[in-house]
Amino acid sequence: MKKFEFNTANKKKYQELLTHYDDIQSALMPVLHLAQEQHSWLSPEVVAHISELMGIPEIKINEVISFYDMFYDHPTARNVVQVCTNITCSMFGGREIHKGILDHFQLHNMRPSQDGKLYIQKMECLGACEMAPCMRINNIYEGHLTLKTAVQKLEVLP
Amino acid sequence: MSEVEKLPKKMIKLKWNDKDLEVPEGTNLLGAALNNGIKVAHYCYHPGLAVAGVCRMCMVEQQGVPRPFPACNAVVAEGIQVRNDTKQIKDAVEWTLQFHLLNHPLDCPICDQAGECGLQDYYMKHGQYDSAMIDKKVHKKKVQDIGCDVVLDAERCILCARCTRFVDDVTKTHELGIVNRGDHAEISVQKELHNDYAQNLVDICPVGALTSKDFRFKQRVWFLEDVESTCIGCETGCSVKISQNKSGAYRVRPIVDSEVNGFWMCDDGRKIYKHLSTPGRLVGPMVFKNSMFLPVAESEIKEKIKSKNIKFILSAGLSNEEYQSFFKEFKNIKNITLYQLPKTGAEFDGILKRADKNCNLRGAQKAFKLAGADSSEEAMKKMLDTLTSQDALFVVMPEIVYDHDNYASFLSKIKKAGLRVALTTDDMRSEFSDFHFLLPVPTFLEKEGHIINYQNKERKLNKGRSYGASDRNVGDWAHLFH
Repeated sequence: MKKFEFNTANKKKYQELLTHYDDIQSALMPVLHLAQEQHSWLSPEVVAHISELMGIPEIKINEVISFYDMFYDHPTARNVVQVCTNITCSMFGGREIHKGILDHFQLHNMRPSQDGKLYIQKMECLGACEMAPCMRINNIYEGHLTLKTAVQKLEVLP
Repeated sequence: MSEVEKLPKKMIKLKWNDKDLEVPEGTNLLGAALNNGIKVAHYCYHPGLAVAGVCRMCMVEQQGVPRPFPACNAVVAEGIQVRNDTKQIKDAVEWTLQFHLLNHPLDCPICDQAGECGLQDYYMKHGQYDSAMIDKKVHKKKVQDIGCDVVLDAERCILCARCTRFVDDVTKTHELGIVNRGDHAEISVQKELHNDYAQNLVDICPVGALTSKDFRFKQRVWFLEDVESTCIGCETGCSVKISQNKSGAYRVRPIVDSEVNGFWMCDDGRKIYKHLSTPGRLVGPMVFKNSMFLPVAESEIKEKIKSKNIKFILSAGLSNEEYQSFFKEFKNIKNITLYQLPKTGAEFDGILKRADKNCNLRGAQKAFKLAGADSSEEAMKKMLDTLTSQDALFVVMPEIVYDHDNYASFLSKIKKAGLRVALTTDDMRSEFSDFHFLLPVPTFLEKEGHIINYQNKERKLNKGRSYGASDRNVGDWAHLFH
């Protein structure tokens, strides 16, 4: 098992995060986000390290990871793309965009591409109905999409 | 168990439906009803665990409170009037149960929990009977071996979280959790179970999600009868019940005993039934001849021991009454010592298990002292060292052995005695081949009696069914010497 550790910058951020809360458990979600930022997904090694670091049983961390759609317990890619398919976006063609992207890049939902570039995820409401249909590319919102503009935006990604 | 002892003294009066209750201050509202014999449907509440309030089955209304609330999440207060027999509450419970059963597989005929299942029981009372299902059920993993002889069927689980609270609060080993969300939520294990109390999970699971590998598919529970007794696995002496019927004994479960074991028992104690109904149990005296055990007449044994010097080694697992009758019958015999099982494992594991595996050492010591005999290990060692071919050595074998190396070395030392007789509850195993004769004595479940545990508390052994010759206890074999 390859060991995971926070890098120097993130170690500092981790210590800072702990000061935001009264007890260490409350810091779990931001700490998981921090780890995911560094490692791209929350592997068993990451969970083991955080469990040791924070004194929280591994199963309790897995409960949290499995509850939330934006924590990944399987490998993702360099670019994580979340396509909204909730009611407003669906009315403006969100589902077709999601399916169209998968077909164009020949991918499956929530499975990274072989070159490690793209990871497409079908999402429920992203909270941006005013720019429906929308998606998030690495936490940045892109709205008023068509299948064509969506594919263009993904093709230029590194 | 300490919580039970520390109950405050002040009494609170309240009304549940039309019944007046009087309970100690600080009592859980649901607990107050259950303790007073009122049947209230519930899954997640367990008096030995922290309150979770997740199953929503114990809903009640209280006068002056606008909405129904779960009784398990409330504490009694003076003069409150609580009802759970109104139309509103009945509907609420009915709808809640419907949600619990939404993804539940209809596999009662092949489920091991059938007959003692909370879902079956409450469905008879609160069920809607006509299926309203349109959507497909969510399927989850069945028959998962999660370690410690526990099998998990995630589909049958209703997410009451009793098991996760048990591993968090009682064993503090944190192996179980609820992963995923909504109707995909399920119990999950981190690697596997690793604690000495895992079979309690099977007991507290109100449905068939956690079953025991050792017990499942052996018997339908309605064909079993429970005999209340005391565990002979170690000096703790937990109160237990043994399920048995005419074809054998099948399982051991704890009984609530606030002074000794509270609600739980350890996994070692679950195995004390194994030797009760083995097919090789003795049906009478046996002789070792031509490298096998054969039935023998008592007169033959009588003849053999006539001119010998009689010596006895007792086990520390007999009942007080047996020691008493033994010392009464054999008051002329001077050479009586005690074989004590060696300590195994940690002195005390912090929950129930203790290293001293002699279930009635205190009773034995008391009886030896009263009879003027020496119960110390030194006395036994001295006896073993001074055995001669003129001796007839009678050994009362321990019922349960943990340290087999120590046991084997003990057996190897008795060979100097000219004649060796074992009084045993066991079957004819090869390790008995050093004995000339075997005499059957009753197991702990085949006699009435008492044992004294590590706290000097007396606990009862009750008589259940018998699966071998068990009519004569150790003292009753005295007639061989007359």
